Parts: sequence; structure tokens; C-alpha cells
Amino acid sequence: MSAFLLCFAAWSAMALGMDRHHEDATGREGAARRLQQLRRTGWLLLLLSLWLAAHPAGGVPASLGVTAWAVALSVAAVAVTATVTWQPRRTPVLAGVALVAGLAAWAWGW
Amino acid sequence: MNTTTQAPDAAAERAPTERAAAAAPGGMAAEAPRKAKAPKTPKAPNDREGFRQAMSWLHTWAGLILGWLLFAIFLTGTLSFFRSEFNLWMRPEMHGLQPMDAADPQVAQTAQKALDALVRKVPDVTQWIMPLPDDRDPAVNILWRDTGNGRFETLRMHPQTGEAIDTRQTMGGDFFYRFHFELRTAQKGRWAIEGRWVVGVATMLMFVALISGVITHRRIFKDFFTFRPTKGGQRAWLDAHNVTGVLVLPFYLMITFSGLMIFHSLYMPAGIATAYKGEKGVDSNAYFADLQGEKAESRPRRGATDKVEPLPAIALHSILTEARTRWDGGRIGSVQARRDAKGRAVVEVTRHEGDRLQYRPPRLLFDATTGQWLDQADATSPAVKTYGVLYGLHMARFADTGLRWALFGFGLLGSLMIATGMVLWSVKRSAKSHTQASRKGAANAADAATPRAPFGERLVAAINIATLAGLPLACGVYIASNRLIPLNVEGRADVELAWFFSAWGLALLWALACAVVRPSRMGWSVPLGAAGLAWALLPVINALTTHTHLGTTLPAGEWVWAGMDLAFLATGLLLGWLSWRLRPGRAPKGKAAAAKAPRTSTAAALPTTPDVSVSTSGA
Repeated sequence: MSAFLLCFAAWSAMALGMDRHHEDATGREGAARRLQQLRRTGWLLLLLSLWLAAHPAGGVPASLGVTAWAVALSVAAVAVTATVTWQPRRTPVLAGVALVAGLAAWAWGW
Repeated sequence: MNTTTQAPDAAAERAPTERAAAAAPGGMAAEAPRKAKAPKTPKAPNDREGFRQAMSWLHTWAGLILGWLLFAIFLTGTLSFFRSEFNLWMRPEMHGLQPMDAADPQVAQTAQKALDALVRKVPDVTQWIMPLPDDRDPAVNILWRDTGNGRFETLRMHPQTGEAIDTRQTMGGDFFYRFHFELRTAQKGRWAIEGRWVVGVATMLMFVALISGVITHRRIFKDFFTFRPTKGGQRAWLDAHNVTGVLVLPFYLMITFSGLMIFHSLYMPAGIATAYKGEKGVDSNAYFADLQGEKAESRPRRGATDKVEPLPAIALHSILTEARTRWDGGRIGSVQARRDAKGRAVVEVTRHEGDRLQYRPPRLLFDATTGQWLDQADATSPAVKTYGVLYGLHMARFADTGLRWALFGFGLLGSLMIATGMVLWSVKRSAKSHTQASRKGAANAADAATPRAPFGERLVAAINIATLAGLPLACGVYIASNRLIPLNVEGRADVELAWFFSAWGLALLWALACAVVRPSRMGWSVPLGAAGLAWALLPVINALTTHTHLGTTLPAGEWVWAGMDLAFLATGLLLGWLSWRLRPGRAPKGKAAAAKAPRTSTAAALPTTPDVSVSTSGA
């Protein structure tokens, strides 16, 4: 669950780092520097979520954790695509919520 | 990546015409080399584009040739993720059994009770395999035989009482499972090896199509999240194809490659033949023993008529308790007993498949008479481990409910990817013949008014309908037949399959009539509507014929049963909605050109409504 939420936040950051989606979401063109920052944040979040998934709690083997992460990765990508397609304005908010919820979920061991 | 100077949207709008025009000398000629899919580029300016074009060709035709078969394999394979649940739902006699936690020590008593019941029924049983009940399958299913090497019989038992459960004859979810890797057409398998070969060839082409598709897709990172359902026509279909293809690509690569690997001994026996040369030709037994981490002599080679001594009385309780201790409280998946090559009776305890990713869980061997621990069998070599992990990923036995639904969703997205690809083939060609027709139209107005797609295109359109709409219909009819066919019919399981294949055949006839003989827009909406009706009626049929309907399962909170009915209903509504969107007389709103076009030509090729692809998110 935490893997999904963190991947969602990561993919959203990456989508927001792309010209077209940034404009859809915020209504204005983003500065190149800012876009790059967003994309980097996205990659870092992905790495973070992978690292967390590789250290699962409660006796679950790491192999299963990483497999679940790979599934979450794709599910989150589909979810982000749906968001930027139908709810572009809400993307940044949803991404922020997902990030916080993802960290909380991880802390609770979900 | 090349950076386009023009707005991508403008390029998209123009794309179909541009491609057709690229071959012609004139305004667009400069664009031509950059368009990977331009039909005829006179000269590739650099090798990369030439390569990409070759890949595009490969992608198109590798995808088309066996795409329909692939769709069927993918969809039935997806349904197989819920094979246990289908097995349960299609045997309403099993309602009321409590799902068991495989970690519960009580499992040992259940196993003993079932074994006692089996021995009472078949005193001289020589071999049995008993998968124990768990949270997905509440019954004890024993496979047994009293011959040396004959066919196994199945016995289903109540886990608490050990009584046999008399269920209706059906293949249940096993049919989807068997069909997806060997195109099973009857309960007792026939042409299984041939079927596996056909599936193997299709899988190989799928693999080719995946890889060439990635190469062909020029803007894979730029368009990563891009989906524009409102753009209409070819653009929306291409977006849908790309999005469903790219986002879930790791899953497709994994499932396709592991699918090929599972039958490696069938598809590529040369390696085994070289490395396992025995005195009497190839010793494939030794190979499979290695693959399973066993000693080669543990599995005897017997003829079908060889006499084998019946098994002695076995005290399972102590054996299972010791197995649990040895595995640190790990779950037990199944137990079996047989006589090994030396004639010694052994009990083999297999760990639960959900306990690790690698397929073929570790097994403990015990002496059946004394209950002494003998050996642990587990594959440890890196190559076999890798193979086991691939196998395990494909089977997804490790997945809990949430993960299972996610994988099921991926399977549906994969089916959609194949489906949109097939439709795209038609859309592209009809768009092209449109431009050509309208250009010719200046010279010959009468001809342009009624352009008729070439026979090949109409045939593809027909098979598209028959597969993409016909298969969901056939699946719905198959499940309905499970409730509708009288219980005492001879060969009932095969009658159910007859319903399945008849429904599919009817869909094919309908599609041929609607797309090849006389193009009409009815082609898509009628079979889709029928499929929607079949699926949506399943809960109703279920309520009329059994006691395991939503009225009882919902209040009782039996989610395995209720979930099936609700999922059927949702599928029915989705298919019905698709059919409604594609109904005749509804002008497609997306593309003005398509709406203005003469009905006959578009109707045959495509369901012009782009919004169909919206369902990608619903999966």
C-alpha cells in the first residue's frame, strides 16, 4: 500500500515535470529548472519507495516486497495517467496527499 | 529524442492524412523520413530510422497474425488468476465450507480424516496427492490412483467431516486455465501437446511484438502519461494502445517470457538432450529431478500396467507436526504418498505455495511406516532458482487478494492493449483508403461515394468482432451454462464447453455476415450487447437456480461468492455500456471526417467511437 502511494507521488512529480502536463495542471508554463527539479524529485521518490519495499516489515521476504512494488509501480502509473487525463488540476494536491499518506502507511507497516 | 517544433496536438490531428500523403511528392515530403510509420519512405536518412521502420513493420504483422489468438490466451489467462474462485463458484454444492487458515495446526486432523475416508473408499490405493484446504479453496481435493501409472481420479471432501462432496460435473475455472496454455477443447485433454506448441508460437510472436513495439514507439518518454480520449479517431486509439502498452510493460514482458520458459523442455529440448545423455538415450528423468531438486531415483518409472503394492496405513499427524517444526511454523500446502523406485512407501509434505516467490516449494520426505524424516527436496542451483522465480511470477500463487486484483487488472489492460492494436490496424487502413478515395473522388465521384474496403480489411474487421466481442460473450455463456444445463446430463462438463464454443462460433458467423458480406454498424454492438446481457444476467440465473446467490451471500458476508456475482454484474454493465456507445445510428462525435464519411466503409472496419478506450482506467 505504501509502495503504491509513494509511486503515485513519484510518477505525479515526473508528470508535473513534463511541459504538457505541467501546463494542464497549473495553467502556466513551468520554468525549465523547476521542471527538472520535479523530475528529479520523482526519481528520488521512486528509489525511496523501492528501498522501503526491499525492507518489508513482519517477516515478509524481500523478494515478495519487491514484486509487490513492481506491481504498485505500474498501478500507480496507470492511476497518474488517469489523473492527468481527467483531473489535471488536482494532480499536485493528490500527489502531496499520496506522499504524506504513503509515509504514514509505511510507518504503520502497511 | 527528437524535439518537435510544432505542437504535438497539431501533428496528431494531421497524422492520418500525413501518413497517406507521405508517399506522394509535395508539401509533406520533408516530414516523411521522420515519421516512423510512413508507409513508403524512399530512402532512410539514417540507419536508426530505417531500423525503426523495419521494427514497425514487424510489430504490425507479428501483432496481426496471431493477435486474435493472443487476445484469447491473454483474456483466459487473466481469468485464471481467479481459477480457485471460479472453481468454487461453479460448484455451488461446495457452499458453506469454511475457508481454512493453512497455518492452523488443525490442518493435520483434516488431512488424517480425509485420508481415512479415502482408504475406506479405495483400500488398495497406491498413490495419492492431497492439496490441503486454505483460504482460497475450502475443500480437500484428493487425487488418487490404484494403478502403477494410470490416470488420477479426483475426490472432493468436506474438511470437517471427511464426507465426499458430490459436485456437479464441470471444468470450472480449470477450463480458462487449460485453454490459455494448451487451447483445451474437452475435459479429457486432447491435442494438448499441439495446443502448447500453437500457444508457444503465439507467445513468441507476442514477445517479438512487445520488443519491436517499444522500438517503434518514438515518443515513449514524452508521451508516457499521455492519453487523449477526446481527440478522436486514430489518435485516441493510438494513445490507448500506447498507454496500456507502456505503463504495464514490465508485467507483459514478465508474463510473456515466463510463459515461454515454463514449457522450455517442450520448445527447446536440445539443451537437455546434450547435457543429459544417458546410456539409453536422453535421460530426461534426471533432468526433471534436478529441476525439482530431487534425487533422480526418487521418482520411479513405471508402465501403465505395472503392479504396485498398496500403501500401508499412514499416521499423518506426527509427520505434519514435525514438518511444521522443521519449517519454523511455515504453512503446509499439500501432502502426498507414493512408493519410490525402491518400493519404499514415502510421504512428501509440500510447503504452501504462498510462502515464497519461487515456484515449486520445498518438500520434506518422510518414511510412511515409521514417520521418520528422510530428506528435504528443494532446488538450490542458481539457474533452477531463476527458473522457479519466473515460474512463480507467472503463476502468482504468492499474491494476496489485493495483489491478485492488481495482476488481474494488468491482464485486462494487456487484453485491451492487444484489442486496441487490432482495431488500430483497421482504423489506420480505413483512414488511408479514405484519403485515397477522396483524392480519386475528384476524378470519379461515383466511385468515391461508395468505397468498399478490400476483402482483407473486411476479413480482419470480422475476426476482430468475432474475437474481441465474441470471446467475452462465449465466456459469459460458458458460466451461464454451468447453472442452466441439467445436472444429470451425460458428459456434462463437455456440454458446457460446447456452449462456450457454439457461442463463439455464432459470434464469428455474425461478424462475417456483418463485416465481410454486408458491412453494417450492427457488427460490434450486437455481440457486445449479447455479451453484456449474458454477464449481467449471471447473478439472476444464479439466484434462480441455486441458494448461493447474492441474497444469501451478501448478508452472510461471504465475499468470495458475492464478489463473483458482483464482478459478473460489473462486467455485464461495462460490456452493455460499450455496446450502447457503438449502437447503430449514433454519430461518432470524435472525428468530423469519420462522421461525414460514407457509413459503409467505416462501419466495417472500426467502432469509430474513441471513448471506448476510456475503459482502460476502469480495469
